[in-house]
Amino acid sequence: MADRQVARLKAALADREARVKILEARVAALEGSTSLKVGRAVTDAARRPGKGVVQLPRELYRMWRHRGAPNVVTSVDARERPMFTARDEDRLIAAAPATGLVVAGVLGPAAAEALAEVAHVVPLMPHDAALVLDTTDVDLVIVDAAAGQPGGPWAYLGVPGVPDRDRALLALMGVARDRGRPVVLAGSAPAIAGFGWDATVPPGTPVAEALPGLCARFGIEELR
Amino acid sequence: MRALVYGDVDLNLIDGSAIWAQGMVQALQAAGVEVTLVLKAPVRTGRLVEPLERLAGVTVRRRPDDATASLTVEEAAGLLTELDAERPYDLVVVRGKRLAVRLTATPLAGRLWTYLTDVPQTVAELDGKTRGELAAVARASRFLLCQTEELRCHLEGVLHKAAGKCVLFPPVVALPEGLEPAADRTPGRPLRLVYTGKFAPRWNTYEMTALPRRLAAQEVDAELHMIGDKIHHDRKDPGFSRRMRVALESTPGLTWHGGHPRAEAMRVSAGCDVGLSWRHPELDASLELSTKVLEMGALGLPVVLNRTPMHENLLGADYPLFAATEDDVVDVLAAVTDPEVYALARRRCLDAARSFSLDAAAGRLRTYLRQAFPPPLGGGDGTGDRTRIVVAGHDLKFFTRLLDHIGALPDVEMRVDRWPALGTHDPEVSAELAEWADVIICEWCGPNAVWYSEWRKKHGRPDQRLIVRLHRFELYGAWPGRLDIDLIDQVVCVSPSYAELTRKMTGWPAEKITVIPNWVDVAQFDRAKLPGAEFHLGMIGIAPWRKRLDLAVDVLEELRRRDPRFTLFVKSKLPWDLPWIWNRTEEREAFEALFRRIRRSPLLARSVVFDPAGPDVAAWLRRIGFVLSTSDDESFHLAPAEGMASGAVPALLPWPGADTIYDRRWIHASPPAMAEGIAATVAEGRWNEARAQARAEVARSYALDLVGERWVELLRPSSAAAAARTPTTCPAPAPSA
Repeated sequence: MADRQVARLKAALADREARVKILEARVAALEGSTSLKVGRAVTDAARRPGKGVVQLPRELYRMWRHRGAPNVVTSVDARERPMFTARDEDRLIAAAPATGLVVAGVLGPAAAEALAEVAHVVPLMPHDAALVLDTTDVDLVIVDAAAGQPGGPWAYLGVPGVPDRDRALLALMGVARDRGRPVVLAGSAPAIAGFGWDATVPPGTPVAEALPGLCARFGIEELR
Repeated sequence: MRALVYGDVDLNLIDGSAIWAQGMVQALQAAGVEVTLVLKAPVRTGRLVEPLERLAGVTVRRRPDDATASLTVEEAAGLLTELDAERPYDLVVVRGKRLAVRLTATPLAGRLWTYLTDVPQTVAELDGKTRGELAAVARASRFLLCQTEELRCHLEGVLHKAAGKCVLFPPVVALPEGLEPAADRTPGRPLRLVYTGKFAPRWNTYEMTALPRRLAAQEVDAELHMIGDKIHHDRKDPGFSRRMRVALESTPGLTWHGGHPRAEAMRVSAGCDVGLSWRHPELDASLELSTKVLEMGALGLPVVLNRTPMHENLLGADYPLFAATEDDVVDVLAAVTDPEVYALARRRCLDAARSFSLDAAAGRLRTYLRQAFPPPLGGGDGTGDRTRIVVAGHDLKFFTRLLDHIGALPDVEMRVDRWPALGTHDPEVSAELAEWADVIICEWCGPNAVWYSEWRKKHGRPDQRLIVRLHRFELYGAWPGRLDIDLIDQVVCVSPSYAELTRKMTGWPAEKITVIPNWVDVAQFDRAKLPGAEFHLGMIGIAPWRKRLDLAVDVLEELRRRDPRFTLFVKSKLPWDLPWIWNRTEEREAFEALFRRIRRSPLLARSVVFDPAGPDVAAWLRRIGFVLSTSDDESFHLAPAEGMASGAVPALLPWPGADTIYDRRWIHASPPAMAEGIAATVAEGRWNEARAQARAEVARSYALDLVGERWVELLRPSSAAAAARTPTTCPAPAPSA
């Protein structure tokens, strides 16, 4: 009798788990759907009438190119899912009074200081990077390998055996890619070198010095 | 104890995986286990197999004489299952993901000790299919044996089901007979460099051929010996193999020894002065450790290799032969001609290799065997009557490893009555389990304890026992008042102060109340810290408000005024993840104000990191130097104890009873005093000493095996009578203060 009960409960649990998985898959599919991404690209273009419209075909091409790519956001943890739930068009009326180049960054102290001289810097934290990127109007995302040094929020980024930071990085790269913003690795970090960067800045080259070249390459005109 | 061992490896090819199979069999045999090794391939050379066949207690099951092909995964799974059906094995050690995945659907599941190396090495490479396969393997495995700490932490981080099951089984390094490291050695003239292994672009073997010439330019006379005959054909660099072969055949100062069996290769290496294992930086992210580095170390050869966190842990951050570029290699080789530098590097390599000996491997396996196969509850050989135990509760997170521990006892049968919520259960199921049980353990003194005591009153048998484990919050609820204490055999509290409080608040007789502290799996948490961890504060669990994250933030703020490297990492669910907290106005308002303070403060905004809650706490703690406990009230607070086991320094505020659990040296009067203590510990270079003390303390008082043994005592059939004879509380081992 007890065995039957256990079996019944196990079956019920398995059934519930299967249903949860189906729902998770549906949510993930919705979040990664090309329709949503296309919608975002179009509204972004509307928000940035000059360059945005020029960039639109490239972004649509990028989506087509990545259409078969696996969704990197595989965890169901609430903080690893995109958290922006308002309508995408709501961005059109959100104030963002920064002038000039806006760089979002996973940055070590030296790079943050140097970039602040030439751009408006939006620092990203492991727990807020995807959210901030999704809701902020940035031109470029820079990941500084030196941010993985101890004594900072991204400590051990790119260190083998510390996968949580790499996962946060992949999540933010996913959001940046969805929004058509180039993601650049500055310096060397072997564990993240193969993450599919749009450009890299070689170790030893100060990232602020590389900025004009990066802006030219990605058609960003806001460099002051 | 009997073990079945199968590696998806060919023991005719003497490579790292074949050496693994040999080491595993030898280590199991040395740990007192009877081993059956099943070979995958027909034997063409007995160099590895025959010495194993000569070991007492080892049976090698060769392929039939007429077999010409190796076993496929399917055939191997069939054979292993068949052998087990003939006479069951206690454990089944397998290597190779495909085979392990296949075995998850066989009766061997649950007894697998799986050794994985062929797993994606980065998060980006891990797709959903592989994740699912690895999760199935983790579920079916008693242990996941990991070659390195990095692999273990990677697996736990990407696969939460692996947490708690991953244990280390590093390479076994055994020198061939007759080969010993020279007692003393100085660098020779010419300096003899040696490389052994395959020739491939990322192994920098072509670049190595330039070393004699470049060293000569620095007036260092050097010769290079290269052993191996596998020259890689690289699609990206089609000219590599030709270029490499020409260099091997014609470079002045280079001797190409060709391919040799492992023992012979090691003999040639032993005649050289310095080993080379300098590789392309792309390989710095590897989660595996080169066995050849260890073998050269065991021979007493210092090795030139890349600086990686793994190598720094192995040899020390100040090891003198780390190199990144070809120029670095030339520089460190020029420097190693200094006898003092040479002696230091050689000593480091020799010392590192010692912890990879056969004895060390057998010791590790003995520990895992004790954990997997504890002695029976009732003593003897475990073939007597089985004790049937039910554990009932809504939240078993503080009982999981004890469940494993008690459930592993050979004469115990355990079932769990998992309540979906504090006050929700299926009475029919609970009644059946209660009827079945000899001993009922209620985890938490909540509605579960009330229900089981009432059931016992109406239907209980005289020989049954009911044990209730009381933590903290229950004491402030109505449930203890509704319990008929006469129907409870023992109430277990996790700290002396809560035992005392329980006695005062309930009026229950002292002899009914026992203290058995919380446990810490000391071996699981004992992992090397990541460099710079001394600047990282950690907090595990921040909700509800009484955990007082705000006080931890006060500490951080004070520390950051002195040094901006101090950072607070929080591993926790956030308060809005817990509706019972977020729906309470006072909780919500307090947290909102705190998060606003953090957000708006230049000192704090970029220095508090919120990491998701999860079972990968041991891996997460590698980055933490100080674990904070700033609560208003706790019954035990496991976080500081886990931190201590991880090699972090605990820092507590004086919540009531803290000093009955933790030594007073870790308890600070106020947040400023805590900040002062932490800053001084780091600035005065006392962090390593303090954390060593902390680790020793927790191992003495709260190690899983000690606490598990206390539970076994409580559950032992005779202990009911014993408890009645000794009506006293059973205090936790006192901290050393």
